Amino acid sequence: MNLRRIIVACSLFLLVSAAWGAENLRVLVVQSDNNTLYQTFTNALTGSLPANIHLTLVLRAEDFDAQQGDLIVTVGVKAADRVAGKTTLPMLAAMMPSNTFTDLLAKRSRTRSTAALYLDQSWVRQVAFLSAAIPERHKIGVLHAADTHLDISALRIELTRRHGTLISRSLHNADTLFADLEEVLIASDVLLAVPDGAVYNGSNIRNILLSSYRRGIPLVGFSQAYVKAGALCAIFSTPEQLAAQAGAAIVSFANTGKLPDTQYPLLYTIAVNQEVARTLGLTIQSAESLRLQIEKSQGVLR
Amino acid sequence: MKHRTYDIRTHIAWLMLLPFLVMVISMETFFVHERYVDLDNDLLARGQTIVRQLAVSSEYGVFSNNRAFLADMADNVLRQTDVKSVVVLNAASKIMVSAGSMPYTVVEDGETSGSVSAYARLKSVSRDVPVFDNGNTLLLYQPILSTQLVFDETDATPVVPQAGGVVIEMSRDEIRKLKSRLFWFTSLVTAAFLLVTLYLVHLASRRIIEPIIRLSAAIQAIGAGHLETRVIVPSRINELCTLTRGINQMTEDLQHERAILQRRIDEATQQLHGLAFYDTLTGLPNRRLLNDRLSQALADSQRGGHYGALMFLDLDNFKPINDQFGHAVGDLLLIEASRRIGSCLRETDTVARFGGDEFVVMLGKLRVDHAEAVKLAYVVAEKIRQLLAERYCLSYRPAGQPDSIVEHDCTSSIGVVLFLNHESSQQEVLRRADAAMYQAKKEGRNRICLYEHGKTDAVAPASDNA
Amino acid sequence: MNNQKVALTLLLCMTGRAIYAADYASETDYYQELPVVLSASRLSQPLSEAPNAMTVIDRKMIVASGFRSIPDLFKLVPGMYVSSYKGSQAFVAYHGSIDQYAHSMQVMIDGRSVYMPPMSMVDWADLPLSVDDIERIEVIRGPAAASHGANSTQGVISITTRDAGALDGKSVSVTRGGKGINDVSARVGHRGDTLDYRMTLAYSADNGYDNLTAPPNNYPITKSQASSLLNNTFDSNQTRMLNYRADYHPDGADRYDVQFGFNHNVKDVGWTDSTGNPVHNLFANSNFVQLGWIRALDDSAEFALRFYHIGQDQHEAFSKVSLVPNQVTQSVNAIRDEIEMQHTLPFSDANRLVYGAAYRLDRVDSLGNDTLKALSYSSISNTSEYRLFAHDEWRITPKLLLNTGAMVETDGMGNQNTSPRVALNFHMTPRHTLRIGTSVAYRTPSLTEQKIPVTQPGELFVINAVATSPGLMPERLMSREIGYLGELPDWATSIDLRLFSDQLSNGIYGSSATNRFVNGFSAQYRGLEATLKHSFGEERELTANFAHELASSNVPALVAAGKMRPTLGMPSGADLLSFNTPRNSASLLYSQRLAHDVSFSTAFYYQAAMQPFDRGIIDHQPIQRRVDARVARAFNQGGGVKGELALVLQNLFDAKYTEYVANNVFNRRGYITLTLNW
Repeated sequence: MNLRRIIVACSLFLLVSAAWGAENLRVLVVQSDNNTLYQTFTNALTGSLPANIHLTLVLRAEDFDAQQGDLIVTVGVKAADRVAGKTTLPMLAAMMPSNTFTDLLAKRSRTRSTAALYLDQSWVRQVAFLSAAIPERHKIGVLHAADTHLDISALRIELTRRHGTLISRSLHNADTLFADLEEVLIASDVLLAVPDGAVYNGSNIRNILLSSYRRGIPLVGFSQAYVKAGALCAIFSTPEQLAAQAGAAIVSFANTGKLPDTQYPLLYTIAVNQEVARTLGLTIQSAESLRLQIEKSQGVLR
Repeated sequence: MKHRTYDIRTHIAWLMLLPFLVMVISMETFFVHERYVDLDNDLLARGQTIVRQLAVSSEYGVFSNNRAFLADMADNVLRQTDVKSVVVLNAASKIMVSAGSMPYTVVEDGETSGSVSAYARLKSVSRDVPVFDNGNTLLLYQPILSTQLVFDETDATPVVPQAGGVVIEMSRDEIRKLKSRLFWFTSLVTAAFLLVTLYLVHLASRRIIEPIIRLSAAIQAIGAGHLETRVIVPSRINELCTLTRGINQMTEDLQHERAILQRRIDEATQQLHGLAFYDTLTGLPNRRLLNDRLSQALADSQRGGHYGALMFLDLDNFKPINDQFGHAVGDLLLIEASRRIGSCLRETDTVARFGGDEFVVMLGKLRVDHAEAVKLAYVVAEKIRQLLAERYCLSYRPAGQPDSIVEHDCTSSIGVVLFLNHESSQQEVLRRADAAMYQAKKEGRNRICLYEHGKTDAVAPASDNA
Repeated sequence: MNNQKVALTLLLCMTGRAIYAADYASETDYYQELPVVLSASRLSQPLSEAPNAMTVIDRKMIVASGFRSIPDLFKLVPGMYVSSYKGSQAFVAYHGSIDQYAHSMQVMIDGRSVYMPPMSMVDWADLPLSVDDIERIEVIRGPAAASHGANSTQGVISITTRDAGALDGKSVSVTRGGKGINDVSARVGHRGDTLDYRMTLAYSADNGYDNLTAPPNNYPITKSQASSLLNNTFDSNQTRMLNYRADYHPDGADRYDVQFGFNHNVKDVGWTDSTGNPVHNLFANSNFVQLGWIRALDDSAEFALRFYHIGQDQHEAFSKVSLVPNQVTQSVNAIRDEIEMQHTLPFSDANRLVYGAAYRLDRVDSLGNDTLKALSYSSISNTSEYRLFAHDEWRITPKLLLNTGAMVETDGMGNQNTSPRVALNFHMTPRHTLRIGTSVAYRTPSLTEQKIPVTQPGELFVINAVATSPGLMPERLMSREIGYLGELPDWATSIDLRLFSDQLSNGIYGSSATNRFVNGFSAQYRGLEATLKHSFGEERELTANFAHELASSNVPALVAAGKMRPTLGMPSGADLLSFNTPRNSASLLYSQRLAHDVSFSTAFYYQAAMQPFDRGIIDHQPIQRRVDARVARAFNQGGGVKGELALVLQNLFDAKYTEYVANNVFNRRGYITLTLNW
């Protein structure tokens, strides 16, 4: 009840502040690099902003050198890292993995008002996704690097809450990848891929997928590429979706003069590999139904 | 002020050890002291017995001044343990015989020679002072009394005449040795005993303290936020088991509560953030979210090869109600309209408010066949149109007045466009639906109009007037 | 700001970045491109979606069965008839076989057809493949010409060998047992970033069947007959082989598969009482090379190209026992080259098309020499065939799956066959599937049927240079079936039921009237097959198969018309084919993992009595009941050395039975296998 009142109050506040009208806002967008990934983001961002917000683009992080503006939007870790130490302007770090932000940049940042738009899905959403996609499988296996920066215990808590079990092992060293993987696979019935480059990379993924496939264990990935490669399903946010959220945050900044809180992606995509599901004898719902279930479980406004 | 804190192990150890230590030490002291006194007394008693006997036996020798006899006897006495020297004095306290280590020589004329100090020492005992003890040596004096009684006429009591005296010197060396042996022995025993005690205390502390240390570590971890911590204490101690259970239960509850709280916070945050993608009045997705949904639906339609449909809805006479009753009532109507639209749709379909009195409905995954998809889209559109055309009864409270009910009729014009694959862009799909909607308006409102390449096709209300 | 400072800051930034680039996740971890690993060709079709009835024998079952020869594995397929002409000449047939060559089953190893001319059969002993290199076997029960081409009239055995990357390390295995069982194998494998490979070197030997100790089936035989008839000493078998497989995957899109193998096989053939085919050795050298290229295209489309070469060289030399002994040498050299391309094209999530083309060249070079008759005979035969195929898998609704497909092929004899197939799978619920299917398949007459050898001493067929049975048409089989597949997760059980009716027309048989092969045999097979799988928890599993089959044919009519010789001892007018097919057969396989790394499995095989079609009633095959058991203990030697010691006992209760020929007696036997991996 209270919550609802807060929300209503907030929304009213937003409405009122929107009515003030925004002045012309100068936004500096700093890309980590000039390749399609960042270009996609920047193009989508440009498209989502009203005319009174002026974008200036810095193509590469290296090119940034304390340029001026009202707000700096960094795209990617490299750009954020470069900008954080160099500016005192409000900074919005888009396309930012949450653990990298909390562990590294939040401490280093010189500017007082820094907010991040995370790239990864919250464990809450990830677990909601798992229980919607493969409700009959509860033993979630995770193989991570020994010095992982992922909050594995938070995942365990969230899984426990959803009546799942986490089977996590850390990689002993690069040579024992398959022995460690076997250990995880023996005890679990789903393998959840995590963004640990030591375990999940272009050269390992082949044997990881084949090993898990031979055991009839589906892999749940974290990008479209995983689903294409042979993962059962994945939940992720596309650069366009991250850009839309960044656009909303910029508009909100223009209206209120305040950066929104650091937040997880609001928009996300679910990809399902029905072919893999069929082969493994799993019935998995369509992406839309999965989204619906996740939103229901998270109680999103509708 | 900061108090120094000790851990429980030190506390318990001191509490158990200190009284013990005090007791053991005092008991040992007492015991050793007692034994020392006993030894001393024993020595004295023995000396007295020896000296008494010697005195009795020496009577004849002294009486007869038989020095050889006396020397023989003195030698016998010397064989007794602890006896260091024996001196027999005559009635005139002159040395008759001296044996042992005491350096007195007997001179023929009865004069003694020897060191002055030794002589002085000899003099320190007498009939009046029979015992002399300077800590190192014990000198005992016993007078030799004649067995013949001499009766004095003037005195009624018989006088026992003194024939001489005997002095023996008892050495304390042996006793000292014994004492030190005793001391070390008892000390060793005590030390061994203390060690055993220490070990027992350690054991006890292990059983009691280890679990407590673990519990305390766990609590510290829990305090630090590691709510996944659980303690397993293999203890048979009732209270500890209860405590363990309690802590685990508490942590679990706490964890659960925190997870719930975290989720609530997450959800609330999500909802607050969600404002960027939702219309604040109706709670429907806004233009931004629709764009995202539409792009996903377009991609989906490409994969699945089925048609989707997009409808542009505009309420036909919304402006009058706004003008007549104010924005508040207009808002109520919009909320009601959005509820009605939503009730016509599947859960996976999206209805978004585009602004003002414009709504967009997106139907995903209709049919693979075009004609069927069109039919299905029409059915849905018609359902919406009919439902929206029903009378609205809006209850509101004008300023300072009681509740009143506004009745209003409001129809809708709907433009429908079907999409498949990426044959047209997102913007194009929206534009076409908009165009179809305007066509519907142009053709007299309260109708559905389908966008078809080049022309739009309006469908008049079928049974509205029947 | 001076330049030095800038440079320093830049340097710090760079080093800082270098540190987290290794440790911390960045957006590139999320958006990196990955190779397509589980592409269409990797993914096996689930049973509930297959257009045919299918039985899968996976690695676990292979191990649990304890079998050391490949044909034995098919005892675990319902309705499959596994038998041997001699200890080293096994054959596998579905619905029974009318001779020991079992012409009508296609056998593929990783897509390579080992169904070889001139006999149109599979010589199981000559395959350069060891049981331990098999990952899984899919047996399609029923014709599948639409997908596997001609000669799959009764079914298809599709063997998938273990991945190149299945073994990372070295492994040695030694087997010793009764009846001369003596196997040794060594394996080495490597799993790398871009190259995986494995290699097997193996030696395998045994002494075949046991000896008959009493006249079979109480058949009255004379003493002189007994010594020859009962003697079964000469059916041992020795194989040496090499098998190599490499998988090179330099990037995400391309995969290259390289395989080659070699097999040198020596088997005892012939009969002690035969003059034309006395006891002697048959030598065979087989080799193959297979090259494959698979490219993953966009939207899970895929292009695959495959080439393979098989060479099979068999030769024998023996003295024909006659009034004057004479020396006969014969050799048959068969070579096959095939190239196939295939494109998998998904139109949408619901519809997928696979189409392709293949060209095959078969060459048979046979040569014989008989010293007495100073006779030398030889022939060379080249046959080329090509085929086009297309197969569409359409999920009309989530509940309805329609498989349509066809193959057009031209064999070397100018016959063009079109084999269509339509199968509808109806998922009543996701767990219960009904399948209705009908398909047509053809069998090309074998070279030996078309060109009957003039003279045939020994074991090999030196085919005639010109056709002796001109105008021989392919056999045609029409199959109709209804299948049900049920998953009962609550009971951890799955059920596979199939009712079928197969109609063989234009069947080829040797006419006794003309001494040639002619068309005109027709037969009908009807029956019911069932498979039940149940797991009791995670440690215990049971697979049960049952088949009930009825066969009928026009044999009585052919006999009456004098085109086929009646079998001695059979009642006149009896349909021999109906006795040739075991009416009931069943198999049970139960495996259990016990504590302390001990695993136990046992199997039971049952087959009703039957009369082999081309043998006299002396070779009547009585009921088979056989129980096998396997106990194994895995151990970890430490230092990366692991191993397993296994004991297999076959025909545990010594229920002596015979197979195909009356003196093929199978008694209890056992062997021990020690395997070490490091």
